[in-house]
Amino acid sequence: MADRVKDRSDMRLVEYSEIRFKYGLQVHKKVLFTVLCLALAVVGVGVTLSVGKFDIGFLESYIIIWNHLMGVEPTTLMGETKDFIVWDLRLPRAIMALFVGAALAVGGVVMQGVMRNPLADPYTLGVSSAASLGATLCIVLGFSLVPGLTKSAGTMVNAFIFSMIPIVAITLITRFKKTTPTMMILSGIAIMYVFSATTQLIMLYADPDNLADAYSWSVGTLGKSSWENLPVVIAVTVVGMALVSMMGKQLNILSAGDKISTTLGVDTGRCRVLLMLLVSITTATVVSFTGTIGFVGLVAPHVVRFFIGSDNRYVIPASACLGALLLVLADCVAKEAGATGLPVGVITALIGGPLFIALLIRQRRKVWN
Amino acid sequence: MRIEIKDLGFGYSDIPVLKNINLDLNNPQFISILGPNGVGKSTLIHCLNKILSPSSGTVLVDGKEVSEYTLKDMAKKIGYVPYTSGDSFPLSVIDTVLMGRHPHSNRRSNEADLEKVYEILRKLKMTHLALRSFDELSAGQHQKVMLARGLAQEPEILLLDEPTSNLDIRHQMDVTRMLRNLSHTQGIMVIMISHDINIAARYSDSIILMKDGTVFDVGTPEEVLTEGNIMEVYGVESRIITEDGHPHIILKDNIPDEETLWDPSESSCTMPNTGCLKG
Repeated sequence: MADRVKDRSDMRLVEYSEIRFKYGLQVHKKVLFTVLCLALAVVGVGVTLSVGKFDIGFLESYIIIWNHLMGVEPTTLMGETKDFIVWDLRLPRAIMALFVGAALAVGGVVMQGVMRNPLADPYTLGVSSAASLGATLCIVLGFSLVPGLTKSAGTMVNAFIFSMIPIVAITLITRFKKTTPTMMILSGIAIMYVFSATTQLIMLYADPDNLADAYSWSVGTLGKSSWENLPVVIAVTVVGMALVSMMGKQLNILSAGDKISTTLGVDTGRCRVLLMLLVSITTATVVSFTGTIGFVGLVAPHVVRFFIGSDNRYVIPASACLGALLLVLADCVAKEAGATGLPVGVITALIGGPLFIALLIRQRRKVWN
Repeated sequence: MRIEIKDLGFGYSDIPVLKNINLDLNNPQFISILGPNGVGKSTLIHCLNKILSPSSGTVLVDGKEVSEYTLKDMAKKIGYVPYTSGDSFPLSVIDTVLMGRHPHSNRRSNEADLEKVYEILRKLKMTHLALRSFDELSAGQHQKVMLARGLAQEPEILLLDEPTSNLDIRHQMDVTRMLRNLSHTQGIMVIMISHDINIAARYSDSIILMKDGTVFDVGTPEEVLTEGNIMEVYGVESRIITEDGHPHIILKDNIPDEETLWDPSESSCTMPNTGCLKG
């Protein structure tokens, strides 16, 4: 009898160790995927330095950076030009791509989880159309919310402030009425229509130069990246991502539905608003420097889920890395395309769209219900 | 453990759903809530664990008013297993059950939590599903996973909303028996909403019979499940026989005509514009 009991507890131990081992393996795969994306993104940055209309060799670009870091002044005019292109244009642009991609992708994960909707992205609440309106107001009408700024600074500040309007509106609504994810999405769409209609109205009366400016802003470009812009973007993105990744588990529970999360001890309403506030601030910051770059935020989280499943504790960091990688790669193409390069927002959608559909068809794992 | 419900009322805007509910539930036991669709069974249990807040009256859990519990303390006290799963981005079975540890754990789920999850899965005989993704499972398995998640909360009180609705007869009995055993061996109060009168009668220690937002009768299965009560509450004629010491209900098909859903003797042609009246 005692032997039988011992046998049974041995069997349990064996079974548990087996499950534990395989579970550990699953976790390792998820971490590995993330590390791989991160490594590829860093390599991508390396590659993108030698990509552009101006011909600079792969190794040469590294020598230029090395020399710049070491304080070696270029001696020729050509050298000076190349130093300017690599150090002042391409390097900040590549780093910007990294962080913008990461921020948008994390925004996508959070919005999809919070809204429990695979179609949600960082712009779902009307962030992009609000930012566009803010920017257009400044570009076309010269109206800046904060007076005394240059046109480009005014555009940025306008875009940031406007893109915070939807989340503020929704937070105010939650004070009076308990909001559901569906209601939030619907009000986001309503906000989007109001703002884009206003933008279009303004554009109707814009002169052609301003129109082109406003339009290219609405597509999103990394062309305006500079060393001065980077610190803000990096700081906000890093802090935002760090806070969001700490809430991965809460996000898992939120996606299980309101009743479940309430009974598991998560304050659903507060948690939802907090997560969306974090994402809105990060997105608003990024958008105000680049314009609205679409698709990365929507697609990166899904691609990650194809590979590693839907556990947000891992999906958040993995999406950040994949989003960075995607935007760096898209920007490589954007810089080479057309006569003077294209806005990266065009490339992400143009190439990303068909690729994503191909992935959708091929995927075996069902990652949302 | 004790749940005291005093003059509880709840309504969605102006429509009252629960009226004057008074109950005093004590000790580890297995309680079934029975009653027709829409009488407020789910609403009642939602008022016990902060999913809904009552419009009137009070609910005390262990002498403390429910509204004074924090969500986290409530989650440690009362576990909840919903009727359907709203999981929109499915996790693996282990990770889904692991969620139930949330009220107890800090940020990272630790080794002890995994062991607890394994023990629960083993008791539910579903360790072979541990690493599968939630969406690959059948409806019955979904219910067992959600049950496992409720158990992982290690609650003193477990509320279940029709936990056996998607299970075949064998699994209904298995799960219900397990819930009864759980309440007796682990000292948990288990409150389950059920539609199967016979299974509830067989395993429950107490039955709460509800009608029109009120508690119609409370007591042991023998006390509550009478031919008169079934007629009053469900409008169904029945005969109760006792076998193995448990009441069994035998249904008779003579429901009064005015209450049937579809009356074949009724002419389908009563509307003037459908054209059928002309012919």
